[in-house]
Amino acid sequence: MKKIKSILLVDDTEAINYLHQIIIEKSGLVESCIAKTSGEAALEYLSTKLDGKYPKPQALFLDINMPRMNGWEFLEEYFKLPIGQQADVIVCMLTASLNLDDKERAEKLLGKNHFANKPLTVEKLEEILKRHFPENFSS
Amino acid sequence: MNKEKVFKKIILPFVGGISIIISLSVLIGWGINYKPILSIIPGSSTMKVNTAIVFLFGGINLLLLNNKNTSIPFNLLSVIIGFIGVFTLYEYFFNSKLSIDNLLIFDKFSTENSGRMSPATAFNAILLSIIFLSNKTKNEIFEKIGLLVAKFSLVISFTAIVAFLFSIPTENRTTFYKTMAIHTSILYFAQTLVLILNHRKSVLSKLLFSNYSGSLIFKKLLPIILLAPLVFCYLIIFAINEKTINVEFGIITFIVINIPLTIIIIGSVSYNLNKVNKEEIELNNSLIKTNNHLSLFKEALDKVAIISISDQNGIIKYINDEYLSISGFSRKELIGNTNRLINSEHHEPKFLSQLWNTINEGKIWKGKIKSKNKNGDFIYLDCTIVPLKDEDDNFTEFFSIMYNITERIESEKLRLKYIKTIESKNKELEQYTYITSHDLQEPLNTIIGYINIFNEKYENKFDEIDKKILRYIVEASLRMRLLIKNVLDYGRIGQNTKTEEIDCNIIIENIKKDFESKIKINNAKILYKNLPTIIGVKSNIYLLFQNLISNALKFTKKNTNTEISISFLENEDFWTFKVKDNGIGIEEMYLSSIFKIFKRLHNQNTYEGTGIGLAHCKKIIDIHDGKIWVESSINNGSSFYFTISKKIKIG
Repeated sequence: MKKIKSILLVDDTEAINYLHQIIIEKSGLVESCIAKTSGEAALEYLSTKLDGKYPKPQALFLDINMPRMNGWEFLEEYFKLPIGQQADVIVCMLTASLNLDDKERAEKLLGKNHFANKPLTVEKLEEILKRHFPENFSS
Repeated sequence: MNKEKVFKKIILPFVGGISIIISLSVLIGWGINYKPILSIIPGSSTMKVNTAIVFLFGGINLLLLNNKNTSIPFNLLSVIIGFIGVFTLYEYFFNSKLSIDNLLIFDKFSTENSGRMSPATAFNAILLSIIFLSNKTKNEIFEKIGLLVAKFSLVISFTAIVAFLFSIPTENRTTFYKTMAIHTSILYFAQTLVLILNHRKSVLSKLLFSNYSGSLIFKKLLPIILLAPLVFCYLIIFAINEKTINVEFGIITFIVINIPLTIIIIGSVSYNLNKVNKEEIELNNSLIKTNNHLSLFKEALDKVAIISISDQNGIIKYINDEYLSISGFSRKELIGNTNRLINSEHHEPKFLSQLWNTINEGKIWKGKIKSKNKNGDFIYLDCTIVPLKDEDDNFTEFFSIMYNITERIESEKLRLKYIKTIESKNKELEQYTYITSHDLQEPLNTIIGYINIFNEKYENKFDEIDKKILRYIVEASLRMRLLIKNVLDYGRIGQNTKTEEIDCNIIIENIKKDFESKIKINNAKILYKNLPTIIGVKSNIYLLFQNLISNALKFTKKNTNTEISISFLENEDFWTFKVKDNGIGIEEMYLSSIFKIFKRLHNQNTYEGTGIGLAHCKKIIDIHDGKIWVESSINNGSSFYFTISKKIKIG
């Protein structure tokens, strides 16, 4: 199997970011993982060249409930970015499944299977990646 | 007193009395042979004894005329009057000499037919008798004959008067009038006239006694038309007799004067009549206009209200279509029956008797009526009943205007029901928040406790990553405890409603003590002067200032001495407070959302918080009937304003 190149984590809670980073590392499915604690920081990261190239992560795990710019507001700005700067797949990270509205909204905006409940586990991560990057798991 | 009464009580007896006085005087005159009283005008005919008797009886009859119990003497006297006339005429016709002429007193003054009245007088006596009798009869044909005869009599006596007026010498008169005396003709005229006026079918009396415009004209024209020709004629004849003018010139002069004068008089009367008529037409037009207006009002009222008119027994006389459509009954079922909508069985008899007492006193009754329509559905009516006066000032009609307020009442009921539901749901929710928050704290305290023990026990064996993980766990637990506490606090706001006087200076002083260490660290100053004493829930006001000051101490600019100032403005209805800081400020786009619960502008790592503080403030201000808002821009500090109503009462 081929490892996923990079994942961008966006969550205002540092502890959650750290937890998710540990899990992603543990899974061994991803080469590198970067975490940002606000939508603004994430947008800046995506639109800034590093070593002459945009980072363009393969997947972006987005927290919805954030101060100032929440997940939805982030997506509004995110879709204004050129395709060359956007990630291949976006996954909304929902705090439990209490708020059905958020789930529906994610489905409407991104399509099915673009959300996952917090906290992330190795199994959940594998399932998400298999669904969105089947070619990486084909052999 | 109206004119007819004046006539019957004064004029009629007066004429009767005069007749009696004159006839008695004449009788006495004959007795003592005093001629002036017999003929009045020297050389003219005398009033005969029998004539005097006719007038004596006629005068008595006039006094008896309107007395119901005297028909026997009245009729007897009338018949005697007639007989005297008949006998005298009989003498003229058959040239016989019945002893009637000089029966009582011998006539020694008359040259021919001594003691005998003239044929005209005798004829008039017969007519007078008929008129008297017809005045008291119930036979309609006889009544009409009486009136016709009266006109004859009037003409005859009038002609005699005119003849005397114009001093037509006795020898020039026709035999018919030959020996009629002046007082005879006047008394005939007067008696006949009052008899005509007394007659219930008389056109003349109707003309004289009514106030219609025809009568007014008649009364205005009559004296002039009567007197003018007489006066002119008299003067002209006098001139002819004096040989000043000849007869032809006299006649022409009469015509020339009389015609224009009559035209002028009639013209002026007609002109006035036109005026009156014009006013009448204008009045009529305005009446039509008013009527149209009223019918429009009625139409409008009919469209919106349920109208009915009942009599004093509550029986319906009129209803409009709206009544039918609301009640469901047909007009047939309602007219002639009691007002079904008002007399519904729902109200107690006392309610209805009070209603009737009010409207019978002439007062307007207003109230709500619960009723049923034909289908048996309940309807509610807003009812106003207006009593209407009749001509005798009695309240015999009742005009009721009703509005169907069923929907309003129903929705009011529903509203109250919903309010109750909401109230109980709210209470439930408060309980729920309180209990869950309480129960959530328990396991959390357990976690925190055990982590602390865990940490102490294995501190030496942990590497940096372990320590970091453990720190995250402790931080998350503590944060959760804070969140739960804040949620609990939020739920509690509004539970305590006890209001009291609050000295804001003391509140701020206490808050300063709470934040002593933070103030020291920030090198902060809190400035305020003579804050007012307000009325509110003390714990709430405390929390409000605490949250605002806490925020000001939290969102400070680096390398700046924090300055927080608290000031106020007083208004008639409320106080406006201002809490100003020189902190980091708030971006304009977030100004409207910062009072929402759990709304945070900053990362947990940058500024700690649960996002509930300003939501607390908003809820507290809502309870105190005030407003809260903020003026701020990024890096320029923030000014939080809030108002507290002055209308809150202690207790």
